[in-house]
Amino acid sequence: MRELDLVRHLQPAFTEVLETMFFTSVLDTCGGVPAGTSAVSSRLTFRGDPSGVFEIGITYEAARSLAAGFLGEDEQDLSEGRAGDVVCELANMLCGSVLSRIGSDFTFELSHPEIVDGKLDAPDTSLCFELPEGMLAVAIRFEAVAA
Amino acid sequence: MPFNLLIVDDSPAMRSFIRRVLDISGFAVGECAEASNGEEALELLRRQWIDVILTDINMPRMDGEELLRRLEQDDLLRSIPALVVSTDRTESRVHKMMEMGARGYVKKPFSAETLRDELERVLGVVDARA
Repeated sequence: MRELDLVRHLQPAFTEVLETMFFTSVLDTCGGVPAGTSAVSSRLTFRGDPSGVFEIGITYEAARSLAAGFLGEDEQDLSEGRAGDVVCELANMLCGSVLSRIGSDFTFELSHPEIVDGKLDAPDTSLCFELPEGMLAVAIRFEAVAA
Repeated sequence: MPFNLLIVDDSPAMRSFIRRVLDISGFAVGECAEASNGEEALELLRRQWIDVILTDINMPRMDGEELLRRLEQDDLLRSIPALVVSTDRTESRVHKMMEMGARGYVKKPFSAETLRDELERVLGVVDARA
């Protein structure tokens, strides 16, 4: 049941994180992005009940724009590494925000987010958001529970 | 009166963001030191005057829980208020960190005003704007 809760909490959690700390907004949800879109992806694992993998993919231009807004720097001065750090921090905050909405009794541990090769149009994408700067897709994969 | 702060977080991006929102909030910052884990923070605290610590929980080498434990055990450092800044918004985690000695807890995402309000509360000042 908590797996369903997680997906239900995605939109309010994403809206809160993006508006409060990245000074942008979610315009709408979308079905997906065209195959081959250039994206930056970050992945982390969460341990609790349930456990699983949380991954975001964000279009390249949107990643740079969000990173510049987060750090208060000009986009042209931003290194790849620094933009990647911000995408990892975004993944960490989004995952924490979604998991924290499950319930007051729920406890979890997050791994350190890493930049990974990813595709926004992966078949396991849970939801895709349209931002003013581009697109942000999220995939949550739950660990199978032993019977 | 400006306050000397120590930001403890393994994410350089997050440390930069905290500096930025402190600036936006108008909070009177004196020196703003940074450490990427609890071990570095303890080293720095022994050679630099710090008024308040802002710490993450999940960090390599020494995490935020262990940092709070060490601060509580240290007669000289125990009086420095530590404020946890974390993505974990669950009440169980907040309760645990407060029991371990944290004086405040800021849940990510947070606004500039939220951070300043919590710092003012922890430092016992009505208005810490520059």
